[in-house]
Formats: sequence, C-alpha cells, structure tokens
Amino acid sequence: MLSDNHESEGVEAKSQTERTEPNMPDESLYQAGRGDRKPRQQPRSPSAICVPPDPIVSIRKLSLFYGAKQALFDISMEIPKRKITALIGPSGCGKSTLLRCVNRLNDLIDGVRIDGQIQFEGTSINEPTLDINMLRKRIGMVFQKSNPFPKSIRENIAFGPRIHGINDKATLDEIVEKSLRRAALWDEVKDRLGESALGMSGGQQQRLCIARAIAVEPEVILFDEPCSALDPVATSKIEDLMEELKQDYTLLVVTHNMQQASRVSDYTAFFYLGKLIEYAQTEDLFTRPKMKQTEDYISGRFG
Amino acid sequence: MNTGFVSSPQGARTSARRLRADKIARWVVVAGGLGIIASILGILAFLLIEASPLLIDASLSPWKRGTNTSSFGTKPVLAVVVDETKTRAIHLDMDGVARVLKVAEEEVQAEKRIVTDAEGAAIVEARVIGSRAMAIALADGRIVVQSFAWNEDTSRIPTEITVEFAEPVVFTSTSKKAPAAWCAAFDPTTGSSLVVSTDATGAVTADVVKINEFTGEADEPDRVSFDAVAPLTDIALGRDLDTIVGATKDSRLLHWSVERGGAPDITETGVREIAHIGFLLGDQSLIVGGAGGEVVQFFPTRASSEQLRLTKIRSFESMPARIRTFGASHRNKAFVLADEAGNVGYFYGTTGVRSFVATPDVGEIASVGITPKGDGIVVGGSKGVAMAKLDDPHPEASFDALFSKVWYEGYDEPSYEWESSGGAASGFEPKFSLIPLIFGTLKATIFSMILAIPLAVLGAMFVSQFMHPRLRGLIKPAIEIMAAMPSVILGFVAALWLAPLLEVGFAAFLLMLVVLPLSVIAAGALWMKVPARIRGRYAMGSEIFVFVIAIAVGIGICILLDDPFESLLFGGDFPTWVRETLGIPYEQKNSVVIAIAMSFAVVPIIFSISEDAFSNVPRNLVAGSLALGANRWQTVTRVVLPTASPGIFSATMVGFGRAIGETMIVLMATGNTAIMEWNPFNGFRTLSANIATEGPETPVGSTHYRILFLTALLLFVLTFLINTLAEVVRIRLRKRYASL
Repeated sequence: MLSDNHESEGVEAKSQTERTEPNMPDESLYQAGRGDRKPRQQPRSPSAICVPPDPIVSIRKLSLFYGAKQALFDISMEIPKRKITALIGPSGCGKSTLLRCVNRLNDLIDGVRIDGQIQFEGTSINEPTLDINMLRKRIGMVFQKSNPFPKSIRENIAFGPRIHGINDKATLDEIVEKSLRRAALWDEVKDRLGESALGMSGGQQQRLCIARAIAVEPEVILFDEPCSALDPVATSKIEDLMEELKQDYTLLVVTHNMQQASRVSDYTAFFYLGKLIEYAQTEDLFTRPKMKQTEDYISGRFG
Repeated sequence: MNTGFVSSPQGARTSARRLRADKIARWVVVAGGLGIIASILGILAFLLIEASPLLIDASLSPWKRGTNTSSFGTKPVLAVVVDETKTRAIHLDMDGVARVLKVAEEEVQAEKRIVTDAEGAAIVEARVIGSRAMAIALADGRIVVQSFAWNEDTSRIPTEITVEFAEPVVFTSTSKKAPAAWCAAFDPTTGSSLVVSTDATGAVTADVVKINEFTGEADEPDRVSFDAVAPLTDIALGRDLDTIVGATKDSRLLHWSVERGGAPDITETGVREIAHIGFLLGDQSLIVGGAGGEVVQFFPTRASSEQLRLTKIRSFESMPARIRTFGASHRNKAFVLADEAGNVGYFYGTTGVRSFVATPDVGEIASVGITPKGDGIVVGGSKGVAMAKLDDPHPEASFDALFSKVWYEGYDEPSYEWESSGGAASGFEPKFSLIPLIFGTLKATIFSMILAIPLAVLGAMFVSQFMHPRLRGLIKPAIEIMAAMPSVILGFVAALWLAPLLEVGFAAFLLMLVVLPLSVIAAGALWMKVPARIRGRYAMGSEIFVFVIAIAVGIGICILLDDPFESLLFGGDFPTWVRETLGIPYEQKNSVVIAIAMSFAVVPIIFSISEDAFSNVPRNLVAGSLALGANRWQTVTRVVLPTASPGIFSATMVGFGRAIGETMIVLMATGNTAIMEWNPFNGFRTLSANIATEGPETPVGSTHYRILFLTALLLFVLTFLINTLAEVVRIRLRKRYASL
C-alpha cells in the first residue's frame, strides 16, 4: 500500500519539481519559526514553518528512504500537545509515511531506512532498544480504512487492554463502556456489544476503531485519512468527535480534505513531494499562505 | 442482449465477431462445467450400479415338477441328487433302485438296483452324501454306501453326461436290527467311507472302510466302538471321516473323534428336542434342527473353556414344523432345511439369515439339497421330485455382515474381520467386515494428521508471518513442489529405508520429538540475549538461520544420544522393549512410519492452503493490532490466527481428504493386515490399499468384487463429504469476513 504511493511519487517527482521550482515566491513575507533561517529559495525553507508551543512530538531532520528512493526530505516540525495538527498535501507527498514514522509502523515494510530523529516527550523513538509495543500503546492510530477485528464489538475494544495485561472482566467492561462513550458510540451499540463488529456501518466501524484506540489510553492519536471512505454525515460525526478528543489527546490527522483540515485542526502542515513546505496555524495557512505552492494547492490549482 | 441494440446505428452495435466469440466461450465454459459434473456423477452412478446387487435378496423360481410318471414320477423318492449342470438327477426309490434321469427330457437314462437282496430288508432311510454318494440303511442293520461318478463325454455335442456307479460298500451290524440313528460319510478323493450307527441304548459303532490303493477293492472295515452316553436321535459326520457328532434325546450334543476315541465332549444345546443335525461346508458349523422347527448353529470355539468345544453361535428364524432333513451347499455356508409339513427353508450360516421358506408340494419330504453350483434346490418326497432355480449371488453380504460384529468359524467371539479369500481351502468362510478397513483408513489418517497438521499449520504461520519475505518466496514454492512427488516414491523410501532405520533408531526419533522443539526455543532465547544493537543489523525474519543451525545441532545430539538413551530407558533395543515391556507387537512397517511418510504427501497441501489463509489476512488488521501495542506474537495468535482459521480448517480438511484416499504409501509401508488396534507399532489395512491389492485378483461379478466397489463408493463418499464440508465452511466464513 505504502510502496504504491512511493512508486507514483517517484514517477511524478522529477517533472513536478522542474515545473514548480521557477515559480517559487521571491519574498518570504511571514516568519513564524524560530529555527535557523535559510534562503527561501530552498524548498525546505524554515521561514514558512512555525514552531507551536508545548510540543509533545518533535521531528528533527527526518529523511526516509524506501530502498534507494527517498520519500521524506529533511522534515523538521513540532506537534503541539492537545491540539489537532493536520497534514495535508497531494497524494504521495509523504504525509502518511510521516504519520507512520511516529508510531514506527513503517518497520513492517522491508527496506525502509530512516535518517534524523523523532522525539516523543523528549526521548528518541528510533533507538533499537526502545520498547516499540509501549510506544505504540502511547501513540494510537486510526486508519484510512476502518479495520475492526472480526470479533464482537466488546472484544474489539477489550483487545488492547487485554494485550496489555488487563484480564479482569469488570475492569474490561468499564473500559469498553468508557471508550465507547468517549467515541460517541455507546448509545448506538450498547445493546449489541456481543455482535460482530463487521455488521456495523462504515461510520460506526470507524468510530469503533477510534474507541479501540482510546481504550489503551494513548497520549497521541494518529489519524490516517479517517474519513476518506465515509459519507458526509459520518464524517461530521468523526470531526465532532475529534474536536472533543482534543481536550485529552494530541491528534495528528492526515487528510486529503482541505475543508476538513480547516474545520477541525489547530495547526496545518502542507507537504509536497516529500518536503514540508509550510506549517502554520490553520487559519493563517488557509487565509494567508506564505508559499506559492501552498497557495496553489489550497486554491485548487493542483493536487 | 443484442435485441436492445437492433435499432442502434451501425457503428454502435457490438460486432458480430465479438458476439460470436462470446457465445462460443460461454458454450465451452458451460460444456466444460457440465462435463465435469457429469463425469463425477457418472463415477458415482457406476460405483452404485456395481455395488447395488449386494442388496439383492435370495430368490427362488417356481418349483418344477415332473409330469411323466416314469421319470420324475409321482412315486415316493427317498433321496435325490443332481449334477453340476442340473441336466441329470439320480433318485432312489423305495425298492432300492437308483435311476439316472435326463431332467429336461424327463427320460430315464440308466438305472441300477443298489439293494440286491431285498428279502426282509426293507429300506429304512436313505441319505445323500455330498454330490457323489448315497447311503441306505436297511431294516436288517446293513448300511450300504453307493458312490458314483459323473462322467462327461465332451466329444459329443451337447456334452453327454453319464453316471458310473461304483461297487457298493456294505456295512453289516452285529445286532441285525435297523439302527436307531445313523450317518455315513464318503471321501470322493480316496473313496474311503465312514459309517456310524447307534442302537437304542446309545452305544455307537463307527466303521471306516478304506479303498485299497493297489487292488481298488474295499478293505475290511476298521471298527471303533464308543460307550453309550444317552440314546441318540441323529448323527452327523465330518468329511474328514473323523468327527462324529451325536444328538441325544435330552438335547445334548456329543462330540467324538474316531482317532482319539474315548468319551465325547458334551454340549448342552438348549433346544427342547433335537430332530436333525448336519454339518455345513467345511465341517465346522453344525446346524441343529429342533422338533419345534428351531434352527441353531454351533461350532467349536474356546469361548467358554480352554478346549475347543461346540458353542452355540446363533439362532435362525424357526421353520414352521419339526425339522426333518437337511442339505448343505457345496460352495458356501448356505443350507436348506425341510420340515415335516413339507416346507423348505433356505438359510445362510455366516449372516444368520433365513432368506425364504418355500413349499415344493412333494408330499412328505425325504431329501433336500442345494445343487452343486448353488443355483438350485432339489427336493425328493412322497410325491416325487421337484426342482427350483435358486438365485442368491451374494449371500455373504448383508448390512450386518459388512458393518457389525460377526462370529466366524474358528473365532472365539464375534468380531470385525476382513479376509476375503482363503486360498484353496474348502469350506473357507469369507469375512467381509468393512470396519477393519475403515478403521485402518482412519488410523492411517489420524496418525499422519497428528504429525502433519502441527507441522504444516505452524510452518505456514511461521513462513507467512515471521519469515523474511525473500526467504518466503523461496520456501513456499519449494514445499509446494513436494506435493508433486509421486507417492510411490514416498512409499518406496518409507518401506525400504525409513522403516528399517526407524526400527534401529526409534529412540533417536523419540528424542527428536522433545529435543528439536527445545533446541529451537533455546536458540530463540539465545537470540533474544544478543544485544539489540547487533540483532538490529539483521532484517526481521532472518533469525531463521539461527533456528536451522539449532535444528541441525539438535538432530546431531539425538543421533549421538541414540544408543545411550536406548540402553538407559529401553534396555538396549526399542522393538524388544515394546514387545516385552509394553506387551504389544512391534512391526517394522508400522503406523509411525506411515505417519512420517504420509506427512510428506499431506504437509505440502495443508501448508500451501494455510499459508495462503495466513497471508490473505488483511494487512490493515495486522497494522491495527500492532498500532494498539500488541507484539508480533499477540498479533499472530489473537488476530491473524482467528481470521485465518476458516482457511486453515479447509486446508486441514483437504489434507484429510488426501490422506484418506492415499494408497501407495500405506500399501507399501504397512503390512496391510486388517487388524483393529490403536498400537502405533503395528500396521493396518486401508480401504484404498485393499482395493489396490485385491482389485486385480477378484473374479468379475463375485461378491468380493462388488464389495470392493462398495468400499470404493465408501471412499468416494467419504472424500466427497470431507471436501464438501471444507468448501462449505470456507465459503460461509469467507462471506462472514467479506467486509474485511
């Protein structure tokens, strides 16, 4: 799945770069970042990259290679705690790949190599000695396609707590109810907790996946285009839910849908061809984009 | 489909060529599919048709009686016997005259007066002995044995059959009185005969007359006397001219041996009053006919004591009236009984079935017999002779005989036995229980599945979930190629190499079962002790090489430890230990050999399908589980395994189906004895191997032949059911997981 994205990106990369680079804006009008300044002709000019306060995840000069092909170029950004950060950009720009670096799900793919660092609450997550299972417990994830296990609704929620050693039935029941309530699903499914999760609607399944992620009490939840397969009603429910989850969790959301990004997120990062082009508060990015590529993209000229 | 486009413009219509190609393709596909279904049904129908005659019951044509007074006659007949072709009959009348009749023409071909001086010596009773002798008891105590030979003159067309009467052998009694009970036996190969008679007190005299090999004349009778036990009502003799069984008035059976002499073995029959007794073919089974029409079978067993003793085996459905006379088949365990009311009953010994009771209307029946080929019944009575055609092609087969315990001659208890042919031995009782074959098939299947399922499923799990993808690309096809290995090679290797090797190195094999898993676990633990920095340099899944080394080392250790281990636990020699300590037989070609060899045939199938099942579990489920912090083992056991379970189930079932039908391995690497023991150190006989060995030998159309078809049908249905079950489960669960 991921390598497919990467293939198309590779084909695209050259022509896009050649076409867009001469059109880069001459002046950097806004400067929100505090990092090193570089000439803004550089595609990864930090001038357009803000540094939000109170970061929980810090990405430092991250490059990622699929074999010989580079998919992410020197990404540096900070993810603010208890905010919603949206990653936008055209297909194959590397936003999902970046997301999967945060909980090291890219480890599953053969031949992935990473340079640079990601720090989670001050500790690097790329150390071989790191307990990857505990990392993933603390950084949950909701996928593009809802993926409930072929088990009952209750078992889906209880799965996470169980693997982390909670076997007491009363505790599990409590977690199930709490997580389902938190995911605004309790009233819909409380009478059929024993039924297969596969019988639920797409929107419900996705909220179940969110509830399942909440059940292990993570600190960060990664959303990988969570609404791309849902109708507008289900989408708005998920968006409302994200809005609420923000109070307790840090949300990092990959989305194709720019309206969604502008509706729900506090910060937005725009990626293009594996590079972080612009990262700013959402309102700023959508109303006053600093980079020409961002402007082109949000105004629908490409992507 | 094209009607909707009739009005559309030229260019918009699908071209005729494409339509034609579509149509042809459709027909080819439909024809192919229907052809497959038809051929499967055809095989099923063929098997059914070949096996179905087993269900046909014995039937009897209407009785044919003579119309001409001079031939078949209406005069009383004392004994009647027919030849193999049923074209000639010899019957004996009250005057002691034997007449040879041409049955079809109702003409007298020849006649002979057997009792020459009839004065004061009226015939008391006559008996047919086999198909080549008659015996007559006279009022003056004499007993005459008249043997004859059927001569075929093949130079004439149609073949002319004549009867050559031998010189009658006459036994005289000292009492000069008609015997109270008597019997005679005749051995056609030597010409010797035995006559046994008893007087009113029950004292028994047995006379053996041997024919002098040089002169061809009868020697003087050897007389043996037995003391009276009780007055006898009837006597039966074995064809060995040694066995004498007498039935007493108080319903006991006395069993003497001419050679041994002395006192008889005594058996209580439980029949109220014995009217008649007689031996079935083979002289093992004694049929006791009661005064109330009871019919009971006895034969010698060790069921109740150390010695062979006549034991009640089974009761048949009774005849309507007191039993009068008896006739045994010359080819199987069938017999006919006539009662005093003029009824004839047809029975079969092995199955315990009374097929029918018929009434030939010949008055009081004096003689009844089954024709030499078993294709007719001939009756002689006070109103002459009657014959009927008997059709009982498969008397040995009945549902009970095939699937229940049957008490066979020579066995001490009812049992399931398969013994389809007994060589040339006369009187052999074929044993057609399918249970030992089904048992053998299940034993082979279960033993091999015990080994194959864990190996294949866990192997598939490892290869699919843990192994490095590049290695997986090599290993999967390699294992699948194993499936293409001809099973005859596996059987050959198992029988000639593995079986002797295992006999010597069984201790090493047992050690491996423990040591290999332990060494793998130890290797895994050691690998985890390697610092993460070094481990991290190797791609995930490449730790397989550590395990390969561990397994090689484990095998080496087992081979080295074989001798010490064997002498420590098994006293130096495992097979001897099994025989002496466990007290069960150890055969070189045993079920363990089969389990190993069959695994080579079954593992690739189960592995391949299970591996697909594991690999088809959506990656996003795996990712979902990992993203919750589950480790790989938790993910595989709690998410992947349950999701792949339908596929694994169906893989197992397909493997099961393969194992059930597997022939060459079990044929070559077991002893093929149809025994029913779970002992892993002996063999078995499977349905498939049985068909392979016996199929080419059986006469077309025989009971054995049809039973083999029945076993084929059974195999077909069994594999069909298992494969169908696998498919149904697979489809149902695929539907259930369709939304994944």
